[in-house]
Amino acid sequence: MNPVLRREVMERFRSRRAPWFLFAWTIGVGMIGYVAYLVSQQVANQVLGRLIATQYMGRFLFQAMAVLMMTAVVLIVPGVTALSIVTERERQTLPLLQVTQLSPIQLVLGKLSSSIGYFLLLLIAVGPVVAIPLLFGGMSAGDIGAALAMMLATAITLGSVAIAVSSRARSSRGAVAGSYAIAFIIGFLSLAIFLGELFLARPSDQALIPARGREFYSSWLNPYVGMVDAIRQPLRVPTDYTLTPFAAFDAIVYARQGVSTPAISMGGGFGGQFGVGFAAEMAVIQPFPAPGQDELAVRVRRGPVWTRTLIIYAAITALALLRAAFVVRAPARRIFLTKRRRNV
Amino acid sequence: MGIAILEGVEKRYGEVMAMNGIDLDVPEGSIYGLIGPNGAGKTTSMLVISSLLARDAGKVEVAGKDPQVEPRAVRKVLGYMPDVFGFYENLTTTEYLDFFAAATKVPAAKRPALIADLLGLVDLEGRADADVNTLSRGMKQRLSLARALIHDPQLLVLDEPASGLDPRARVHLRELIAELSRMGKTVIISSHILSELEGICSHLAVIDEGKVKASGDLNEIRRTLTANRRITLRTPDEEVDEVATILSGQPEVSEVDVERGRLRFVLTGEDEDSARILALVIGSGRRIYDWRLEVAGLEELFLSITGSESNDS
Repeated sequence: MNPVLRREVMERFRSRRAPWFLFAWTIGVGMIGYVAYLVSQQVANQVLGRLIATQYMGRFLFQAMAVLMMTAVVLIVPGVTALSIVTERERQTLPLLQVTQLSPIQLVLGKLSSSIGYFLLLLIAVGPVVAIPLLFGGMSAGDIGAALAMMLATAITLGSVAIAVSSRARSSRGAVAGSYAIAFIIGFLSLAIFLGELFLARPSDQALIPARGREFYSSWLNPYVGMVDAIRQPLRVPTDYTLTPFAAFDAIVYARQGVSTPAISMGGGFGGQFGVGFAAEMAVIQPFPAPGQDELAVRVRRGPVWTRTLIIYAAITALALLRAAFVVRAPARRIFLTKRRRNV
Repeated sequence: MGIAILEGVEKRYGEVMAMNGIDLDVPEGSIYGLIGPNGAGKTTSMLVISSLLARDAGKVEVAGKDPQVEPRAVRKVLGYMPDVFGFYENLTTTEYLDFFAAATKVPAAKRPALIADLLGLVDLEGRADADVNTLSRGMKQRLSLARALIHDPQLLVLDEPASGLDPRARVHLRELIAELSRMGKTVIISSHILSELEGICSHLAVIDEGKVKASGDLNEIRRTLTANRRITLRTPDEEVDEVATILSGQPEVSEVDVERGRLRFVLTGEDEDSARILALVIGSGRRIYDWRLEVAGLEELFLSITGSESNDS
């Protein structure tokens, strides 16, 4: 076992903060799960038949939990990881590590695995709440696996970025601010950029989606879109399109292929498009495909988003970890390597 | 061939030249003191030796390896103790040492016995399960020394190890360093408080303004710098004048002075001359209660070295 990981785990779990945070987190997720259950129950009771209603509730709950967990990844992982290297520097323990036989990459991986491990513990702690949708049905084990895999990939990516920022930062505050800034760009700003791309790509003021679709590059970076895309087959369009927590991200996936969804077309503009579908009266929107558009005629013009997301995340992770390992290296060796590279 | 050799090493921080052509040759098994005022370049020299800082010019070898080219090989033979504590929270002393043992690739099976031995060596065996943060400053320093020793290095680099310690803890630390030397370790130790190094160093380098002003075997430095040695002797009051007359007749003796029943004089010569004069006085029937060669302290040497440099400039 990596000694840094072992020490970090001991240090983290002996602090007073850890159990309290775990307690608050479990209560919070439980409460959100309960609210999601009430909403899905209301929608199902009002508009859907018994069998479909149960599956819908399961799907709704699963999607709500998936969005919640992904948001937790974006909001928690940078905070947990950002201090990892900078605190070593601040408490002057970094030189002590640098003179051991630990390689810089071992040090960096120890820090990363400790943060990811902590996040996995948070996931396991709320496992019973997250598993409730399984009782209702409406999603497959593959869907759950895909969601967890995308969350893990996102956690590793944001954790690696936070470690790279931490290795360069001069203060804890700077490390936290820098890590969150990048996490917000990846998690949330990419959605705003998608809106901008969508607006610029519109064929006319009346039509929002280009007929043959358009690649929205910002969607490649977004963890929510990647997760939704990994869970659902694009263009496996239900005819009784029912809005769920994935609706906004579904819309991005469909817009790439040149078809509009209720989430985009409803209301005739950008305002209020995203996040609709949580209210019961909006549960059933117009049938999909849109009038005059045959579902079978819709061609998948572009490949899945999630594979692109994973490739980008792998590249970001590799670069961030290598960068962090280079910076964490003792200056003597780092400067020597830099000079040698310049001479070559 | 020394275990650590520096030749013409330079290191600059912006406008400040921290190391300005430093040459050191640290013999194996020695306790090598680096003395000099704050900002003289002692810590920078230690960081360069410990593979933690890149030099701008010059050559460095630790156990035959360049710390910049083969840092891992150097770190295997080197234990570094910085002038700051650097402790983790919520760890016991045993866990703290176990972490560094794992980080220095000490096999897991050997660690419990090794840690127990080290805690015994630094007199912390009673605090094996104590939280590191509850230890006193002196205990932390000793724990830090145990950490530096965890992989049984040949060379110990101790940067201001006694700073901030109370007198008892200082004495304890000095005894510990002497014990390490007896165990065959080479110790490079720095301080700007010269009394800390008094009596334990076998070798010395006086560093000031990034330059080595004098270095080598401490006794040789003493001999070189204090060719005229002062001797104090005690004799019965009624014989003081006669002894003074005998001494004044010797060509190697000068500045004979009587002060409160004691005779003091300057001897220009070696130990043999001192022995010969003592034999002469005793042979003349005079009684000598005490005959003491005053050894120049580090402070005196330091002032002598840095003083002569400033006079030269």
